[in-house]
Amino acid sequence: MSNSLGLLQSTMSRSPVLHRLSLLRPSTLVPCRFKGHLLPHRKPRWIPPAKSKVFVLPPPDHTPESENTLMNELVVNYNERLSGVTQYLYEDFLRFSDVGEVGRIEAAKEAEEHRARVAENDRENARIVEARKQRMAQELEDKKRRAQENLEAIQTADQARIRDLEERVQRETAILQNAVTKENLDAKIEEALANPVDHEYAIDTEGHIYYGRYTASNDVPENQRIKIPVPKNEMDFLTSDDDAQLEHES
Amino acid sequence: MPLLEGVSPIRRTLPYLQAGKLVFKDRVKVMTLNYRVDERAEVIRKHRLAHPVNVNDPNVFQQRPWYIQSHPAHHGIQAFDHWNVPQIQYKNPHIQIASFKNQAPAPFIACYMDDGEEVLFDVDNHTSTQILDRLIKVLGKSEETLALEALAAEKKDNPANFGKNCSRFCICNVPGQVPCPSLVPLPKHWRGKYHHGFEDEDD
Repeated sequence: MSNSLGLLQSTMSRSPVLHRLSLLRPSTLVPCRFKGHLLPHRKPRWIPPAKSKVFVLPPPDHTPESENTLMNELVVNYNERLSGVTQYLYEDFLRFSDVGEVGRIEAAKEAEEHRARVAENDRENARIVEARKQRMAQELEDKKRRAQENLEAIQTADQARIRDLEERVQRETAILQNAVTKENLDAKIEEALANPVDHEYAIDTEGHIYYGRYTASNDVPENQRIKIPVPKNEMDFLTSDDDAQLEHES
Repeated sequence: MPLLEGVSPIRRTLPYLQAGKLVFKDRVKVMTLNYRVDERAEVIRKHRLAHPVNVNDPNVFQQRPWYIQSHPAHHGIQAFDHWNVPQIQYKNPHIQIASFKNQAPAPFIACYMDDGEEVLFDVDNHTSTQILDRLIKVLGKSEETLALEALAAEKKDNPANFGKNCSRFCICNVPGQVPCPSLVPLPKHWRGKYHHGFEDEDD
């Protein structure tokens, strides 16, 4: 046996082709231990239940579901905790027991370094806290300044609005002084009759306007013709004050 | 490869995850991030099915005005959570990472050690790079340690090794070595019961 095994092994190690073809390749090997000793000890899968046991039902389980859940939870919790403890002990073992005194010294050194870095980090944190305080104070100042600026802008706008309104009131008052009342009605009528106003005008396709009922447009020289006043843009026209417009025209 | 969907899907690619620099020391167990985000953005994020047109509809989002607003000082840690935390989680699979939003006024990171020690990082006005550098400096493994550990991991991959977690479980798989006795019985004169004369070799 030993001779044949040795021969086989030496042949295989010499020739890769033989090794590839050999029956001794691991994928083709069949364990021979227990051969003929360990017998199969259950019914083959294709044999049905015994006739006397076909209608025997398994006993029903009346355990409440809550109890099963509780038991499951307990088992899971136990396993989790135990695995955690095991993991901790394993890590502890790796850290200390494995290399003995050297590991202890290494761990102490590492802990010392960790403490130093954490202390450095704490100093950095203190610096950042100080910087944040300054920043927040600065932001508060900015906020106050902005609020003050807004307030001032609103006040300025209010003042401008009030000024405009006052001007308008004065303008209206001035107009009202020429208004027709019962007292000066006759005088106004006489004045109007004495000064008739000619509202007639004509325009041409080139945008000229010719005031007066009796104006002959063809007789007006080119350089004396008046262009129809046009607002610069439509918005000016829409937002302009009627009185101002009238004043502009007159 | 399927389509990558969602926000910044590059974060879920393997090359990106493997490019992370931060590997925590063994003592670090938990990392928590605290920062503020815009309340409105958070509500919109929760209502993902809302039509984008309706996002500005006050009837859809009744909660107005939005009192909690993010500050520029929090933008760094927001970016850190978005871009760096996936890499950190990939590189440190046994560390728990949690983000708490709008729970504290200041942005900070708290790390908890195995002995219950708490290490705080105030990251006000930091960029994400600064945060990462600080974490690496204080709680990360040094490059020398990482190189040594990589070397130790490589040693397990040595093809000459055999046993558990190696390329071959048993030396008998190597041509020229003695096969396992379960596959080919040992020569009789190597076996004790024949060697010591309890059994006869000729049987």
